[in-house]
Formats: sequence, C-alpha cells, structure tokens
Amino acid sequence: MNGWLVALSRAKEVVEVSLRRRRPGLGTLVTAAATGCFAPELCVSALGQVPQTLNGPPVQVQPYVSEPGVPMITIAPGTLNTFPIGDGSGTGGDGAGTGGDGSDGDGTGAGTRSNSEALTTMLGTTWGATAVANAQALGLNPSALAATCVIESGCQNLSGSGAQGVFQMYPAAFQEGIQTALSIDPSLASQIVSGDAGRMDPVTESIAAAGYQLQAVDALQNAGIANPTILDTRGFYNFGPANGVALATADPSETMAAAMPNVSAATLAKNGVTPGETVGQWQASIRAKIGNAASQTVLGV
Amino acid sequence: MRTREAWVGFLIGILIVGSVPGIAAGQAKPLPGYRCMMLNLSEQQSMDPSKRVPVRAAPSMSAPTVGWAGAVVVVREPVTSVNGFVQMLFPDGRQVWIASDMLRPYHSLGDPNAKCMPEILPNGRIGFGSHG
Repeated sequence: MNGWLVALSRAKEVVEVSLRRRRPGLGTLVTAAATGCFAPELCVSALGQVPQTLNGPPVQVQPYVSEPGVPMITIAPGTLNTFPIGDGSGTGGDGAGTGGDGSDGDGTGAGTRSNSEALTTMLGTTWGATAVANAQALGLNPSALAATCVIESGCQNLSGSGAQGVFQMYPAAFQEGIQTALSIDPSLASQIVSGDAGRMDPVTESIAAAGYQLQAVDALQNAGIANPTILDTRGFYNFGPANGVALATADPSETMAAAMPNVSAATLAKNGVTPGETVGQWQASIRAKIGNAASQTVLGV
Repeated sequence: MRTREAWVGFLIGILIVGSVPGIAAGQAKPLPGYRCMMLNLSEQQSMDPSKRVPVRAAPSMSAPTVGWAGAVVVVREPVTSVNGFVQMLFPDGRQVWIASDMLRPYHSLGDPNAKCMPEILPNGRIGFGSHG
C-alpha cells in the first residue's frame, strides 16, 4: 500500500515540475486533479460511493381513451402493442422499452425496469398485465414480481399440498403478503379472492407476492442493504434474512458454505447448493433463470 | 484557456485513478482493522424468516435499534466489549453495536476450511471474502 503511494507521490512531483516549466497554472491543476488519490481518506470516501444508475424511464403516464360509445382502452406500460407498426407486416412493437439490460453481473448496473425477459414471460399470461399494474401501485418493480413467478413455477398455476399457485406461496407467507400489500394500498382488496383459495388465483397471489417482496426489501434495508436487487431478495427467500444479508455482502469468489457459516453442508445440499459452489456461481444460476432482471432493484415502478 | 487546462487536469486525474490496481478493475478491497465473526445462532434460527438479531446505535440496551445483523458480522479489531456490546460495521458503512453474546468466532459448519476477511466490495458495500 505504502509502495504505490510513494511511487505515485514521486510521479506527481515529476509531472508537476515538468508542467511548471511550461505553464505554471497547469501544474496546480494537475495537483488538484491528483489529490483525490494521494489523500487516502478522500480515496476511500470516493470509493465508498455507490454509482447510481437511472433504472428505467421516469414515472410514465398511463394513457387511456374515453369517448361516448367507445370502449374504454387503457394502455398498460410494457404490454404488447396491439397495433401494428407501420411497416405493413402486421408485427407489433415488443413493448419492452430500451436501455441497459442490467446483465453486467456486478449488482450495480441495473437495467430498465420495464425491460426483462422475466417480465415478458409474465406478460404472456392472461393475468400478467393486471399483476404489473398492482406491482406498480405498491411501488414495486414489476420485473421483481415476474422474476419470482418465473423461478417458482415458470408462471404456471401449479397446485400442491404445500406451496401453491404461480408464485408457489405457503399459507403463512401468503397471508402476510396480503396484509402488507393492503396496508399500503387498501383499494387492492377489490381484486382479492378471499381465503386460502386466493393462492390459486394468480391476481390475488400476485398481490400477496408483491407484499411479501416488500417485506424482504424492508428486512434487507434494515440490515444496511440500501437498495436491494432482485438477486438480493432471492437469498432472503431461499435462506432467511440473516443469510440473505450475508449473501448480499459476500464476495462472489466466496463459497456458499463460507457465506452462510451457520448452515451445514447437508442443509445446503437440500437447497440445491453443491459442495464448493461459490456465491458467484449461485448468482449465475439465478441469472440463468431470470435473465437481466437479476441485477435490477426491487423498488420502483 | 482555463477550460482547456481544466480538462487536462481532469484527464490526468482519471489516468492516475485508473492506474491504481483494484480501483479500475472493480475488485474488492481489504478492510484492515476489522475481522469477521458470525451470529451465535443455530442452523434453524439462521434460516428462520422471523428471526432478527438487533443492532443498536450505542452500546446500551436502551439505545435505539437501528437494524438487524446478517449471519456474518464485521467487527472492529481487537474485539472489545463495551457494556456487553461489540462495535460492528453495517453493510452501508455505519458503525453500530451488537450484543456480544450474539456473536461467536467465525467457523463455517459447511466448509471448516473457509476463511473470512472483511472487504469493501466493488459496489461499495462492506462485505467479506476469503482473500481480504
């Protein structure tokens, strides 16, 4: 550490001297530019900053057409364009928006929220557009909801003795999610199928899943993870809040067993973690399922 | 002319920053003065969705709770207990306090040879790795 500081200090002197010979003001400017790296405190301060990336477009107006005698038409952002683009071929726009794809894998370069493979999958269902609207009403990135259904069921309404529905929720988590969602937006109650039967109603379960995701965000934020990504919440779901935080702060080269020291090899194996599997490999397996949604932040519409 | 000089200074500054190993490459940086510990929880407790281990703003049971601890905790070295609390670093860099009886030395059940060294991750979070 000291070695490169000394080397840089000498280099700074040489550059300063040579520039002063030509033009006195330039040397001063060079010193000022270099100061950020010669003062370790300032360096650390600069490194501690987290690059902020604009995730998707600003809040969009949802246009609607309302005229007497004409059916109400609401255009939900991200849905397939039902009107052909003027090339005469009859193909529609993809409704996916533009921007970064968030697939850089370092958790800092989130893509646009309305642009993910997972969201496209969910919007391919009959209930997808409604789930997107409900997620937005709760302040949730719709891709976070879509990623959950893609991982859990491929967005298929699956029944079973334990977890059920497109989001494969258990009764307790389902009820907690509903309560959280309704505490934020009581108007969603009108869409809810009451009782446990709601788990097999995709719209109802999407509301519960959105509420449950907000709980995950709250837990991670309270553990010092300022802006959790969809990948961060997967750790929370699979291994609990304490291990979820550990996974969110582990170097990708660390093994899963090292990142979750309280968990035995047998339990890791039951959860699909192979011996020696690294955090980076586990993250890659999630990315393989949900694509560019993985690095997107959970919050935001 | 001043604008041109400012640009030259700016560009040289960027070149210097880019020449420092570990900065341009986006690698984790070691965090001297800290060490890893782990929560004193059973396996079942560590995976319990409702289990929360509080951290506080000051070394006192009456101090406000500012959040919850993760399974791996980065604590200041040497580890000293103040009023039954140990100072730790939150992932966002805040100094907070955790009850010392909620901590134990780092030792991975699933990988007994695993090492844990505190790091500053490329995304700015305080974290840990095996290289330090």
